[in-house]
Parts: sequence; structure tokens; C-alpha cells
Amino acid sequence: MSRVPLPDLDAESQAELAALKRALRLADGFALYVARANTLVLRRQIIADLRANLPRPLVELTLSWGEPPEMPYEQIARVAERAPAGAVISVDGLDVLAPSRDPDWFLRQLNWRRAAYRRLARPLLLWVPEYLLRLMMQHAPDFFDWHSGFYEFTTPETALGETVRQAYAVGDVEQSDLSLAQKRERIALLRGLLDEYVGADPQIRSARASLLGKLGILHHTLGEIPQAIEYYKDVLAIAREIGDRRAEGAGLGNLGLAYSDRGEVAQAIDYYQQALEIAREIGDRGYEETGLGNLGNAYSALGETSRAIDYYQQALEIDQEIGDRRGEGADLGNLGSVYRDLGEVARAIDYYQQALEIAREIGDRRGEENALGNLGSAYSDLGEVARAIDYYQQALEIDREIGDRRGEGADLGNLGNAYSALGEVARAIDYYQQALEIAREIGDRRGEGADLGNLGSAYSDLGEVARAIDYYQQALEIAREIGDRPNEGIWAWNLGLLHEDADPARAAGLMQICVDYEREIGHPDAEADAARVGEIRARIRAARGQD
Amino acid sequence: MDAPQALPRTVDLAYGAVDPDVPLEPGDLRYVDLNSARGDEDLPALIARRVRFTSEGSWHRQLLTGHRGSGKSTELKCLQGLLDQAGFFTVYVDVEETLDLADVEYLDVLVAIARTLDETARVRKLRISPKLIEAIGEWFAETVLTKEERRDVNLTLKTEYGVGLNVDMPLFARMMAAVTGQIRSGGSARVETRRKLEQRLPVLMERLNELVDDVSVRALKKGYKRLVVIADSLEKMNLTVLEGGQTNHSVLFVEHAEQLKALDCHVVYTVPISLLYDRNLGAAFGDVDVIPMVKITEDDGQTPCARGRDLLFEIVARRMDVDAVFDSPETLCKLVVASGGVVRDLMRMVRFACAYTDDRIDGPTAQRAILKMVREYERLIHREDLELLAQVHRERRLPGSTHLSRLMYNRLVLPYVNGDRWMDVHPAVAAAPLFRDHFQLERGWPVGQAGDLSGT
Repeated sequence: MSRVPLPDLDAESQAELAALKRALRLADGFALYVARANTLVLRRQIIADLRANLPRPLVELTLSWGEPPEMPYEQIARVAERAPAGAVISVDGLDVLAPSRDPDWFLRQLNWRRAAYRRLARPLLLWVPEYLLRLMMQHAPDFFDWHSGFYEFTTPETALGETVRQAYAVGDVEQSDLSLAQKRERIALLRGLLDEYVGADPQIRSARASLLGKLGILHHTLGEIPQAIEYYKDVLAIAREIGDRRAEGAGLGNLGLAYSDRGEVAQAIDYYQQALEIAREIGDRGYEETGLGNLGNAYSALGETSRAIDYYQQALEIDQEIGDRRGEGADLGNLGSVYRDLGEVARAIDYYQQALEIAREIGDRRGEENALGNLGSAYSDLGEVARAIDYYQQALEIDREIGDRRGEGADLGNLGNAYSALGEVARAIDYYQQALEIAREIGDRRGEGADLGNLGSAYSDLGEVARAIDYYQQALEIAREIGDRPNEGIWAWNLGLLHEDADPARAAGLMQICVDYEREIGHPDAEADAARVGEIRARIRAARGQD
Repeated sequence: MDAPQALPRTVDLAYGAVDPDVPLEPGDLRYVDLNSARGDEDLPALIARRVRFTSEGSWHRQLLTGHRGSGKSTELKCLQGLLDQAGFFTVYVDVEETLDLADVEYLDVLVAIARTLDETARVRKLRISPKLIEAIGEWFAETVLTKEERRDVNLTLKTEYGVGLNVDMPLFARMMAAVTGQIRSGGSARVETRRKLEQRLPVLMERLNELVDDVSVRALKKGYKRLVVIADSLEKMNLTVLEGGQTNHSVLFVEHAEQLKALDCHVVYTVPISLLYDRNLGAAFGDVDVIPMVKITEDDGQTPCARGRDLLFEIVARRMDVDAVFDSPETLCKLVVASGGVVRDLMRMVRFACAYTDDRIDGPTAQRAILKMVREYERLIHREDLELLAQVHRERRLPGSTHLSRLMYNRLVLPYVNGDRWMDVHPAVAAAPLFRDHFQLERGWPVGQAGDLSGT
């Protein structure tokens, strides 16, 4: 047995490794060993060393993320059953499962299955990063208390450098195109790395803020808005502490986007305004343009179209001034969408065409796809459904070509809507199903909700009320889960309509959710919808009076 | 004492001899009676006496608690043995097997008791009135399950709720398995089940007591004395601090004490240690017993408790040849003191030390094992706990704060008894730099060396 393995490890970690090896050699029957190593690179090195130097077999298991999620115990038990006699089971990936969903729930499950783990009658070696170790100790004390040994390894510079390289190899935008499993793995990677960046040194704080920002964006693309908001707020706090105005602006902007996705538009506007001020203060025109565009989107969502147009125009001016063609295309697209909302479809088409030309001119595939999708929607408004479908198909092709899964899902949803408008409901359902699959694959909860809601509408058109109710119900649950207020209102309203005859009281309750939200944001439909609910309530009272 | 067989003489062999996960069965030669260092109370005998002396027509109902690894399950086994010997009909309910300890409410506990009563009666060949059991089973089914679910109970049991359920089980057992299955499955089914039961709570209690009464009467006819229910594992329920600072533990045992006490039989519930100093619990339940830690000092926190230290030393000495494994008895004494009287921590430190050396365990190796544990405990200390921990360490008394529940739950604070209850922080907490800095700064003491635990 080599005495000095892994020369990169510091003396303390070498001693820990020696102790771990002794313990694994001596373990008889069930034993639980917990090893703390914050990076996968380091874990791999140590596991390779154990495999080479232990006098007993070592079976590696990386817990996987499934749908429905399978608890660690089931996965471990399956591997333990097949493992050769005397084998140690090394379990990694707890961190891939734990940072998402509800970590508390996961840890409680761990706690509860404690007795079952014993019955495996094998030594288990669990790999955890620091943050998970602390969570386990606090929330799964009955489980953690059974450990027979707990070893701490410090990540050496080489492994740290390799991990940092991995962390920055994927850009913030590319992150959203990753598969669900890849996103989970990335979260674990970044979260473990975060544990390495502790200390008051401004450089460390700055690196920490950058990792926190990436984590926020990842959770954001997964539709896990509350977690995203938490991370963005951490970014903001550090940025203010170290006086990094640029990071502060980015944190504020992202917070605005997150609140906007939750339907809390007023809050979002507040953040955007702050971000805009910072951009102007530091004189960053690009940042300023982003802030203006976001404000335009927010006012557009509130139905304040003239204000939205004003912001988009300002953004457009800046982009033309600084020569950002890509941004210019996006602004034109946004302007088109506002005019489309105003019913000025011809004008919208004109803007979309300009955006399309710019995108093709500069070879911006994403911009091109966006413009094509918008043109599809505009022609759909005009009732030229065949033409709309043609545009959607072109957009779909581009998304498939560049691997934009989220965009692909949106295109399929649009195609579904188009065929639904043509009365080809079966075909529409087929598209919605495909979109749903993609949304689930990439963990896009918001998209999943929209697809389920669309399926509900399609089955409602077919008169299959029970099925429609089921889909709307699922869509409603997702909207609630991710705090998507606008869609919560829409699905509750549609669901209410389906319940109206059989259970008017329930219908009124559901539809009221939509009314409450519309009133809160001052939506123009609010009072008309309220009157509709009032009618149902009046009918209920009248029916009661007759009894 | 006479060693039954050769004791381990090397660290390699000693490593396997201090596995804290294996509870001792009564009669094991390695068993050391710790009562004389835990306040001289023989709790199982005491509780059994209370049950025996409870006058006809009234019931003994009490709570029992203790830290993880304090020997609760062993003591409960012992209690059951004593009560069986005395002729009582004891029913042991292991809640861990039936419920989801991540989320337990009083209704679940009552349902688990009903289920185990029926199972135990069948195992012990006590024939509960078929008419009654059918009526109760039907009541549960009608209350909790939908028409389809009732019809499907036969078909779905295996896949949905089944961990090896026997299809030949009587209807009542199947219904109860379905009901507990719904509770255990979590999510909306659980919430819905509880809501349905709660709406008809008075009837539920009536039905439960009909079952209890029937089992009691039939047990009496078979020559047993009264019925005693021992509900174990409830102390393992997860701790959640609710809005307003109340804990889920307190909601279960304080707010719903009436329902938990409403059964017409003797009952002993194990409860989480976090509740020990809940001021409302005493009012809700008469007796709350605690299995304290073995004392390593007297309640001044200074004077060594020789008896406690000797007994802890003995626990290790019955498992290995101390003279061969340690360089000197003093080295083991260091670990004994650092354990704070938590047997599991003592075993764990010996284990750590065995893994840190090929040779005998010497002073530095022991110190390393101690530091390891200190680092472990330090992770559990939140900054906002420091003030309270310092107060406990200073006064060795209860500061009367509900905030203590988490500190108890995570074993940062340990209870001791000598006539009176007192408490102190775990020695590993006292040695943690985070705590030491705070404590000594506060008292204006010179800062000592971290991890030095031999000061007492």
C-alpha cells in the first residue's frame, strides 16, 4: 500500500485519508462513513486511491435524479444487493438530489429510513459537501448520529482550479439549454464550490457573488423562483458590501426578472428602476439598455402600453447609438409585440419584419427564431393560420438546429395553438404533448404548466370535461407551486368554468382567484370578470332560497 | 469482573468492539448499570410501580424522554418485561414502523395505536368481538376512504400501501393498513385523511375506546391485569419550529394532550427531548421522566463525579483490554470526560482514536479524536445560540426559554440528575473555539487552548 497517495493533499487530509482507509478495512457489517469533500474532482481522486489501495472491493454509486424521484435508500439498496461480498458502497450525488426540491423533505426521509439502512449490512461511504453535512447534522440528526466515522478533506489547489474551470465553461445563457439532469449536476458543482469560498477577502467575496449569481440563474431556468430570489439577494448583499456596482446592478436586474415571473410586476419595476439608476451612474449604456427593455416588458405586462412603448423606444435609441444590432432587433421585436397587444397587427408585422432582417443580416439565429415566432403569432391574430404555421415551423427548425430546447417547446406550443384554431384538436394535442415532454425534460416548470393548461383547453374543446379538469388542475398546482400568479388566475378561471354547472360554489371560489389577481394589478378585465362571478353567486343564493 | 472471553488487545480488534449501533439485549455481559450515576433512579422499576399502584378506575399516563443514545429503547424493553411479569397486557407500538416521523400528528398516533392493538390481540390469540371490530373497521373506512378505495382495498393493498402485507389479513387490519398507508403516503392524501378524522373526532375517540375496552375485558378474562400501551419512537419525530416559535413537538404533546390521554388504559409515550423543559407540558401530562446523562462532574460543573467516570470507563473496559489498547488508563479517562456522559460519543471517540493509529492509543491520538468531535459539534452551534449556551454553562440551570428545544434536540445541552435536574453544555461545545471565545470574552477570562478538556 502506498504511503503517500495523492501528493496534492495537505498533511491533515493525508492523515484523514489514512484513517478512512483503516476504518474501511476494519468495518464489519453495516457502518456509515461520511466524507466531506466539496468538489467532485477531489472525490474522484480519493475514490481512485481507495479503489487501488483497499484490500476489499469498492462499488461506486452516483445517485440519480428520476421522475418520480427515487429516494436514496431504494437506489443504494439495489446496488448493495448486487455488490460482491465484503464490498464497500461509495455513494455520491446526494448533493445533486438535495439542493433542489425541498432539502428538508429529503433530509427527513433520510432520517426516517435510518433503520432500513442498517439492514443493508454493508459499509456505506457517503460523500457530502460542507453545506450538506451541516444540513444533515441539523435536520437528520438521528441518521447522522449513527456514523462510525466522519472525515474531512480539504480541496487542493489543483482540484479547485479544475472545478473553477468547469464552473465557468458554461455561459449564463447556455445554462438554460442544459437538460434537467445536467442542471442538477451543475447546481451541485457550484454549490460545493461555494463552500470553498469562505472568508472576508474582497476577491473571495467577489468570486462568491459570481457563483451565487450562476446558481440563481440555474434555479431561475428551472422555474424554482424562490431559490433564485434567495441567491440573487445574496449576490446583491455581497455586491453592496464590496462596492461592486456592476454586480449590484446585475443582482437587481435578475431580482426584477424573478419577481416579474412570479407576477409581482410592481416589485419587479422597483428593482429594474434601481438597476437602471446604477447603469446610468456607472455610465454603462449596455446595462442601461437592458434596464429600459425590462421596464418596457414590465409595463407591457401591466397593460400600460404607451409607457412600454416609451421605454422600448429609449432602449432602441441606445442600441442604435452604440451600434448593438442584436439589441436593436430585440427592441424592434418588443415594439412589435406591444402594437400587437394594441390590435395594430399590421404595424406589429412591420416591426417584426425589420427585426427579422437585422437578425439575418448579422447571422443572429436566436433573434431570427424569435422574429419568426412573433410573425407566426401576428398572422395567427389576423386569422391567417396557415401562414402562421409556416412561420412557427421555420422557428422550430432553427431552435432544433441551435439546440434551444426551451424555444423548441414554445414553438411546439404555438403550433398546438394554431392547429387548435383550425379545429384540428387531435393534432394540437399531439404538439402540446411534445412540448410538455420537453418542458419536463429540461425542468421548465413554467412551460410545463402552460402546456398542461393548453391540454386542458384542448380536451375541453373536445368535450372531455373530466380530462380537461385533470389537466387544468395540474396546471393550477404548478402555477401555485412556482408562485406564477397570472397563470394561477387563468387556470383557476378555466377550471371554474368547467365546474360551473356541477358545483357552482366551487366554480365561484376558483374564478374569484383570477378576479382577485386582476384587481390587484388593475387589469382592465377585472370588473367584467367580477360581475360574472357575482352572477354565479346570485344563482347559488337563489337556489338555496328555493330549498 | 471476569472476562467471558479474550478481550480485544489491539486497536484493529478494538475498532469492531465499540460499535455504538448495536443495542445491548438484557443479560449481555457488556451491560453496565448506569443508574447510580444518573440520579439513582431505576426508571423502568419506578414506572412499573406507578402503573401497579394506580387505583382501579383510573389510569397512569406519562411521558418518557432522553437524548439519542441515552438508552431509551433498552429501558422501555426493560419496562415491558417488568409489566409482563407483573401480569399486565402490554401493547408495544413502534411508531417508526407505522408512521412518517417527518410529519406526525396526534390523529396519526391514535390510528397507529388502534392498528397495533388489533395486531397484538391477534398475535396473542385474544379474540376481539368480531361484530365490534367489523363496526369499527367500517367506521374508519367510511370516514377516510372513498367508495372506490374501499372496494379496491383488496386489490390495491399490495402495490400501494404494501410492505409485504398478507392478503389473508382480516378486513379490519386491511382497512387500518389502508388508512395508515394514506397517512404515510404524504401529500394531499395525508391532509385529507386527517381532516376527515378530525371532523368526527368525538366519534373517533369513542370508537377507539370501544376497541380499548374490548381488548381490556378480554385480557382480564384471560387472566391478565390491565392494558398498558407503550408508544415508542415518537421522540425521533422531526423538529420543526413553527411560526410564533412553537415547535411541532409542542403542538403534538401539549395542545393535543387531551386526546392522547383520552384512552381508557395506561399509556407511556416517548417524547422528544426538546420538550423536557416545555413549561406547558407538565400541566398537560402529569409525569415526564427523563433518562439523564451519566454525570462526569457534580452540579457545580467542577467537582469530578468519580462514580460516573468509573462506570463510563467500565463500559469501555468490558469491550477491550484497556491496558493493551491504550498507553495508559489516563488516556481513556480523557475521552470519558470529553464525552459528557454520552455513551455513544464515548464509543465514537474510541473508534476515531482506533482509526488514527496502528499502535496503542496515546495522548495525542486521543486528543485528535476529541478535536474531531469538537469540530462536529461546533458545526451545530449557531451564532445566535451563543448567549443562551453561555448562560447554561454558567448557571447549569434552565434559563426558561423555548429556544432551548433545538439545542436539546441537537444534543448541545445535556440534562443530568442528582436528586434535582441540572444541565450543562456538551463538553465538546465548551471546547469549541466559537463558544470558548464568546464565553471567555464575556467573563473576562483568559482565553485557553482550544480542545483542552481536562480542566474539570
